[in-house]
Amino acid sequence: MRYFVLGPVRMDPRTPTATKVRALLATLLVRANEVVPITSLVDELWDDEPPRTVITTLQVYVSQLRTQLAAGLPPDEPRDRLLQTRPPGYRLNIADRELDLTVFESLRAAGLDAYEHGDFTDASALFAEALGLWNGVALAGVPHGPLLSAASVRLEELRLGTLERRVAADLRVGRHRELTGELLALTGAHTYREALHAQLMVALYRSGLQSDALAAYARVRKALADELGVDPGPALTRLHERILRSDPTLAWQEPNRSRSSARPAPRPVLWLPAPTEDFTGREKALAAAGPLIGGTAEGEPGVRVLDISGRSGAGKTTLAVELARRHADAFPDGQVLIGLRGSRGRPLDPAQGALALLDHLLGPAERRRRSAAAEHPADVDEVCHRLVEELRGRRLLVILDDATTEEQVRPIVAAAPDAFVLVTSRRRLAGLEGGRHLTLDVLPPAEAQRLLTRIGGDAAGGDPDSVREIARLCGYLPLALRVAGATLVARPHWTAATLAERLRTAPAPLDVLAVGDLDVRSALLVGYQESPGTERRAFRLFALAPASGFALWGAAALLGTGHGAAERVVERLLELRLLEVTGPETAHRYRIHPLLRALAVERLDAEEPESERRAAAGRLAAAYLALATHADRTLLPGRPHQTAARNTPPGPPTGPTRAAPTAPGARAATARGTEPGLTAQTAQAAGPGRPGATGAAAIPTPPAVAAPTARPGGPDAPARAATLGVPATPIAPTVPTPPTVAAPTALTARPGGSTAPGAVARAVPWARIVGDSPVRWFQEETPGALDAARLAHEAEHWPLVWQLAEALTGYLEAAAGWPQWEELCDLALDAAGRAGREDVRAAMLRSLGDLAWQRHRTDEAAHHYQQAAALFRDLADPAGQAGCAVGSADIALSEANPDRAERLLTEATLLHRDADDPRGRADVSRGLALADLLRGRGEDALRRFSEFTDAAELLGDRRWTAFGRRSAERILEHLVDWSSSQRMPAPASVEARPGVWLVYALPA
Amino acid sequence: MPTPTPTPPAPSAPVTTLAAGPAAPASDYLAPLVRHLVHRPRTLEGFLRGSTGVQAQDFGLSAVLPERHPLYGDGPGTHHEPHLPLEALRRATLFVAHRYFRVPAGRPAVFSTSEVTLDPAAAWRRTPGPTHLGLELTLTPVDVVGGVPRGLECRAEIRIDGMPCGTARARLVFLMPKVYQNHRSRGRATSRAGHAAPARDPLTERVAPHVVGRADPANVVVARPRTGAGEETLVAEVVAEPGHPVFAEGSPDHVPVLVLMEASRQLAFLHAGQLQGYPPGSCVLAGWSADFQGFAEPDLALVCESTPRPARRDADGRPLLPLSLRFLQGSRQVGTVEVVVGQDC
Repeated sequence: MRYFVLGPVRMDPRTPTATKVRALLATLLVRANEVVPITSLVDELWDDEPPRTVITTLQVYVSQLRTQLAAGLPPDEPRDRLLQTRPPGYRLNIADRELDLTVFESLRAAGLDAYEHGDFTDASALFAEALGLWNGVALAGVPHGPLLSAASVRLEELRLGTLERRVAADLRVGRHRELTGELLALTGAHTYREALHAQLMVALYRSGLQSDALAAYARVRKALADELGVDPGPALTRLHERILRSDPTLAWQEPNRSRSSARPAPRPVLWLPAPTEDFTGREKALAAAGPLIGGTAEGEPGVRVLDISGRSGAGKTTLAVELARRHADAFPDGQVLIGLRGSRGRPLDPAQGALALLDHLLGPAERRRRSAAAEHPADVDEVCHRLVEELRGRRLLVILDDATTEEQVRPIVAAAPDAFVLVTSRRRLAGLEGGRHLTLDVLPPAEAQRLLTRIGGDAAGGDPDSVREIARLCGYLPLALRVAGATLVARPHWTAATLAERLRTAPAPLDVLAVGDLDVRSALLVGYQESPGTERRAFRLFALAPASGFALWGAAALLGTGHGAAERVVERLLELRLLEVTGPETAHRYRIHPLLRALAVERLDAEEPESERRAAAGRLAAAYLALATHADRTLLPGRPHQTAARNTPPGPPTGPTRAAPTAPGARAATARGTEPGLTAQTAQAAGPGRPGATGAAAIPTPPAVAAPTARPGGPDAPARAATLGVPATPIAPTVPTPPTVAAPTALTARPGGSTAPGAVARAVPWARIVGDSPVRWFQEETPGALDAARLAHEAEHWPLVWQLAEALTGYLEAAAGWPQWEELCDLALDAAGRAGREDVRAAMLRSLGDLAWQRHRTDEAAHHYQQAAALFRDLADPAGQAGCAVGSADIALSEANPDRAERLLTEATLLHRDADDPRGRADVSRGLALADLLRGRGEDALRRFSEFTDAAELLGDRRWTAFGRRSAERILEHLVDWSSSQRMPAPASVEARPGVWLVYALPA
Repeated sequence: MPTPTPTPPAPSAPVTTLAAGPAAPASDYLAPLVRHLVHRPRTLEGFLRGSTGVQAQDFGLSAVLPERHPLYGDGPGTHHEPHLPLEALRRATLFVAHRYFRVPAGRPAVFSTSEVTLDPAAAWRRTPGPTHLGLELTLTPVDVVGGVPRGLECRAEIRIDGMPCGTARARLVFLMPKVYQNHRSRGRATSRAGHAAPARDPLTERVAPHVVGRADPANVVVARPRTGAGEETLVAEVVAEPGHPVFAEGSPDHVPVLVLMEASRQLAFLHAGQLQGYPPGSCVLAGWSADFQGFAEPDLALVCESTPRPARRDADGRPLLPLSLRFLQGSRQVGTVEVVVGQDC
């Protein structure tokens, strides 16, 4: 808002039309930021004749005025923020620079200050600028009551006093000739102002018009005598006498030519923060920037601009100042750092930035004047014009700190042809013509530790392990390291180990990284807050992504958009330094710096509704599930995904809430007939129906996963499987496909109405993402998938949890990834319990049994198998029971008890008569082969392994096939030494499953 | 050159070693020590074919620590012996070398360095019932010639009942038979050159078992010590009882590494008792690191020399005494061992 009283009363953007309301405004303005009592307002507006309903009428005027004032406020601001009711009246809140009167007074005060210091040229300019704010008679256009009348008189007196001062300053600098005309007019208008008459006499006298000066005196003397009956005052009389005697001291004294004829050489300017004493590392950056600044860079002699960009806290300013310090000799006219942000962190506009530099180049008086007029920066061209004049021939180093746009920098670069401009910016200012760019990343670990040790002193010096840990937890970010070091100094009772522990365990690590005015959170927050809304939302949601990093498909899933839209947001976040890219060019991965991630987590909790957090977690888990299922079926074809396709067994109604079957992605997948099981699985993913969360519990339909075009078992593997009664997809055909369900609108509706998840799913090339190397995909993504499962569990997407567990445990079993395997099973077991899914519990207990067996925890394994077998029996699932019997047989084999193993495997064979489980039957063959081997029945073992290998081939499982073949080869190698009728010695070790060795005797 | 670990008898097939029965042979007292060895493949061929290239491989090793053991069960029995996981690492590495890295079975294998650290030491305290030992192994081939490594760097994280409790490290070297024979010949000649027969039969001069933290006199492998060149240095003859179920295992070609390990432990405990007053029954190994340069000849006198280092305390304030030990045969140094003895309190 802008208010004007030095002329007609008005305000921007809209002035009240009603006279009384304007009078009310004027009254409040002359008493701005004070409470004006209602009684005073009534007196002002109605004098002695207030209407009967005066209070009501006044309130109406106040209301009208508030309406006008609200036009200048942001829409979300309260309407009465500016004009507040404050008993016993009202108070109009205005900022200093919003009222022309305040600006006038500031300029006048600056002028007086300059005048007092003998800087008459500046004083004259300041007074002139102050008077330029006047636009007629003060408080014009409104009726004046007692208050406004007094104010009007005071203002006019103020104006005239300022005018006299300006004229006095002009006379001091020899502008007497230019003044005579103006003074003649002024004395005509203000007959009794003797000071003006005196100034007119001096101006005339110095202009060589002594007689006119004497005549002027005669005129004023006559006017005073005729109209007031008084003589001129002593000052005027003394002046008259001095003119009469041609007092030489009254004549214009030409200033000393030696001072004024040539412009004095400006003194060097130095306006830099003190260099950082503990500046550490950055050798490469210094080496790269040094030749550019020194003008010795080969092939780049004309470079005058270097943009140092990097994330918040990367140490850009510190580096720039260090560069300035190191190259001080090359800039004899000085070094200046200009912060391109205002007091509230808002970026300065180009004129303000240029003006800030100009202020530093000009003397203190100019700075005073500019300071007084800061709200009215001159036009950028004008400022630059002055900059050109000031900078001409001056070899300066200018640091423009924390630039946000190229526009802030360009005018200064253009105005300073002889200066070198160092720019620091978070975003790379790629549009800077002719500039060079230096990107500053975090410090290498060794440099980070050195910096921390230097700052942290003794506490850090004696504990290199903790220093290493702190540096890692700080993400090697220089600002964070600096704060961490300062924390150790500020808290001598903390050891480095204490700080490391706090950083590691604090729920909000950024709380720990604040000491004094050093605050990492504030620094990081600036970048976040300046980002557009779409990027801010993405940044928040990426807090849910795995800390180890994520690919573009993960970003798309979290955002609920297509790849293209996700890529645009990701690129923008990279540009804003809120995200970083890792991995090879062909497979970019993204990650958020650990401390920025901590910020993202905070913002996610603070700004994102729980429903959106849960939905995003569901989308991410669904994406992982789709990819993991695809990778699993490529790596381990034929492995059943048992729990996914089962119906919910009868039980308490605590199962997942199902939504209406309208998901487009699900429909599309089913219609194409691609992996219907997967569609069904993930479509079921819904929360447990918590009060108020039913709609948000479901997750978006996952993408359909295309079956691998070339199955590892050969092109005819599905057909061969069919001859065994095995479906091409591993979902048991006897289990009806659950109804397809939709992502409810509560989930799909997102800010900005972005693409529906179903459409996203269809757009994502899942098979291409996994590629031909599912092992690599699992190796890279398993930590992230585990994170996604944890999030899904937290968000109560129970089916997603166990489906993810099932999709990953095949790989984890093959890779012996014990801790992850165990955690996934535990999560899935818990999810199954909460959702009342006994079939899932049984499957997970069996998987835990397999895990415990691999780890040689036989008692634990036996316990899990027993529990699982009991559940499978209750569920009438003979295949499941058989699987538990095979697991128990493996335990017996571990204990070198082939008799017990054979009994259990025979039991499994009987159970398989009622189950359609060719994989399970193959596994029985494997167990029987091993039992035969331990008993020394080589031929029988060979036959069993042959059966196993054939079945594995039909299933398309290359891993099992290779295992069966090499097992048979080992037996054959030994059978050569014995006739088939003999019992061969039992082995000291056997490979019981691929890669799992049972060792009965090790070499000594 | 390192002290040898007896290589397994060359089996007829390089892939699967066949023994005499389905269960562990009665003589293999460590048979229950290792039961499951699980390969963690890093590559596609590892997953699908079970084969490995000449690159680092990970394994998980699971075992139940023996509750009764003729040597490591002898004594106060308050803690698990750190030599057990080290021995498990040693044997598992040999197993893997032949099966996964295609090292020919006839190639002699020696461990040049071995080390075990205990962190936290408290995790090694014995509890009732069976104890599960887990080793997370990473074996890295070195000096690869013709696709076959001449050595393996072994690192292991040790877990007892699932809790991380230390690390073990070893370097295994596979020698070409000719090199091995030359090395043995030179070492034997050097040992004999400076050899002096002991004045007394060290077997009859062995110390009482309780001063070295054992209960069974048959398990004692150090004779009564004497003061060495330095005032605080102790020197003792090393001798193992003939036919001992543990020490007699393996090749009689040289002094078994188990005897050297046990001798270093016993002399360190004895020395800590003399210098610091640690009751031998409360002594525990807090760290053990060995570097062997050669083989000890079984028919020549072998001495162990122990020199204390400045005593210190662990993070919880328990006293620790580091000692530097040397095995000498004649004028030849067989190996050095750094031992840290802690007091169970």
